[in-house]
Amino acid sequence: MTNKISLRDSIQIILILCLSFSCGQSERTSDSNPVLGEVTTQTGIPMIALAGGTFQMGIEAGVPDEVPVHEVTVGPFLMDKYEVTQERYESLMMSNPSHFKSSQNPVEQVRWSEAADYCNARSIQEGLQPCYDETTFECNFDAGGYRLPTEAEWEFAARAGGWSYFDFGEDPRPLARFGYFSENSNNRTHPVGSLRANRWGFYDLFGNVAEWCNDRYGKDYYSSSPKENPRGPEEGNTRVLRGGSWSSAWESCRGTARSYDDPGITDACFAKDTYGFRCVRSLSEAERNRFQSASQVNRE
Amino acid sequence: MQLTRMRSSFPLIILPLFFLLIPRFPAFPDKADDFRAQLREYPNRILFETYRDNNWEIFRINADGSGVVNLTNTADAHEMYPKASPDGTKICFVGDEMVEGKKIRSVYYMNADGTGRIKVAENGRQPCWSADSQTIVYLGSKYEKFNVLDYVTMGIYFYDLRTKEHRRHPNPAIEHLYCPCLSPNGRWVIATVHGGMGFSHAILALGADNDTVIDLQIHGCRPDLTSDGRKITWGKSDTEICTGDIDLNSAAPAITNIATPITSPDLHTYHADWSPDGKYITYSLGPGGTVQANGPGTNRGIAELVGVRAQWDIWIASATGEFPPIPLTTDGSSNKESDWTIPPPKGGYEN
Repeated sequence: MTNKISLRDSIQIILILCLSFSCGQSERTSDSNPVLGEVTTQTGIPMIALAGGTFQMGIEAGVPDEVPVHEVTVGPFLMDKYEVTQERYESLMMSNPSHFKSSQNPVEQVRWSEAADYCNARSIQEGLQPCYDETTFECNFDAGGYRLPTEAEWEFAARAGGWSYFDFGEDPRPLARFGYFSENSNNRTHPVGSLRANRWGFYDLFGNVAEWCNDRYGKDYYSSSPKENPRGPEEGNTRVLRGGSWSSAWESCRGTARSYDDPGITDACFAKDTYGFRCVRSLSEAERNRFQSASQVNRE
Repeated sequence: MQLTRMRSSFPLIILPLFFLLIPRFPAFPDKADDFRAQLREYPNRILFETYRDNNWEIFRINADGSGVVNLTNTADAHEMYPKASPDGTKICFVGDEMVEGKKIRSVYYMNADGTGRIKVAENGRQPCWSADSQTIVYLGSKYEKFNVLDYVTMGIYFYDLRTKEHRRHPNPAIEHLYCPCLSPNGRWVIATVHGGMGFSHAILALGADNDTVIDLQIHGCRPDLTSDGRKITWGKSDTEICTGDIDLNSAAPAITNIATPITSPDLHTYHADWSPDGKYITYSLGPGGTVQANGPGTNRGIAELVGVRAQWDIWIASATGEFPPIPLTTDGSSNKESDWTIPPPKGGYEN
């Protein structure tokens, strides 16, 4: 399994560390940079490899479910550089439920369970072990296949070492350069990657579509969340959504803002055109080491 | 003193009242029994899809749930989504079969007694009838490969039973429709659209032979019309079924007098269907969620989709709310997608 990245995927390691240092933004950031590089998976999907790390999750200035700020460590993982597009979704799932039809726009009107299904189908397509039990929808984090990000992984990637609402700072005015939200979306989704990436190279984490996370939502979860790889409450009827959408006010697009909804496994008719997703995959230590070696070579 | 007097007179006042009330209880009819008694006299019958002995079949029952008949009895094919012709002589439906190792869902029709099966269209979906029982309207499948999702459709087709010709609807933009029904006057196809034709999700009236598309502005899915075309029912949510008046002779049909006669606090309600005279509505009551069922012919998917196994039963409600809804099936054998049919033709059914 661990060899698949290097042998089967035609991985292109592209150093994007420069992104981390060239933004010229005044936002206070963490010194450590977990970006190991960008890869293109066997099926041609660009992902960014993160070494994982420790960050302060939540924000004191946020709404009640964003506190207390607490230290969280996430393990190494790959995350889609872009939200899953309609083209990708349709080619794998043979359906495109989206309202705003365009092949490069993010797929929307996707229920949480359908997003989990997609992760499994993508795993199978690439010879990886699927993470989701398709009866219970429980996630096997050790399986090695694609899955939805944990809320902590999502926030880690979105804040990209920043301490504020956005990786670019507290001031929301630059948001229109990074994401489509209520003030610049013209009430619809837009092709993924058409605005700026965040400091670590991810596009559309703020706006366009709100992204399903794997976690069940718990309003007070931050008070009891484990430090290492928190995965959300064991029980709960709703799943977390992050990042806000084309219809959201800037406040809902903040990197710390938490949202949630019914995962939709109970409802065939009424999906929402503001919900989409992106996938992640846990990296084994061996995979992480390979990435680190490769990025070291490229730096030299 | 006064208190004592009151106490002593208490039994004299209360006891007669008590005896006056007690005998009244049996005098109130049990509404469910009364409803069943009324349904026993009702001549129309009900078709539905059901999963028995590892096989999807089409069953027919009387309006009170009695007289169960398996109309298909095919161990090697799966029949679902029955729709009775308005004249009661035929039933159209979809059948899932394995052809050269690939699953295919096709549109068929047969006689009302289950004999004389004829294939209408391979890779077709969700048929319904014209008022004269001579045309089957069905949806094309968007993909060649089988997909259990109901909305992955492309185009509307009209099959003439007399000429055996298929005609495609002139609007090339039609896609992602499901659960269509043709208005009795033949002017409109009423259907749900999901993520298609510029709509997020809506119930539409589409001109049957032109490009007119009207959003009926009702939230929900799976509409059904009365046989006179004056009333519509649909699922407003997972747990509510609505009714309303509709004017299908208008150039711009709209729905008025909306009511919600059926609600379910716990289970889901789907697949509402009017009785021919609009007196009753049958519907499926069952679980929500995504189902992973094992067995031949079963599909993993959202529980209410055609051919997905889950513990559904057929229920009936009076459209006026006069009686509380009662179940017509109770075994939970994926009994769903009910459709009313008029009394048997002269001489009765053969089986």
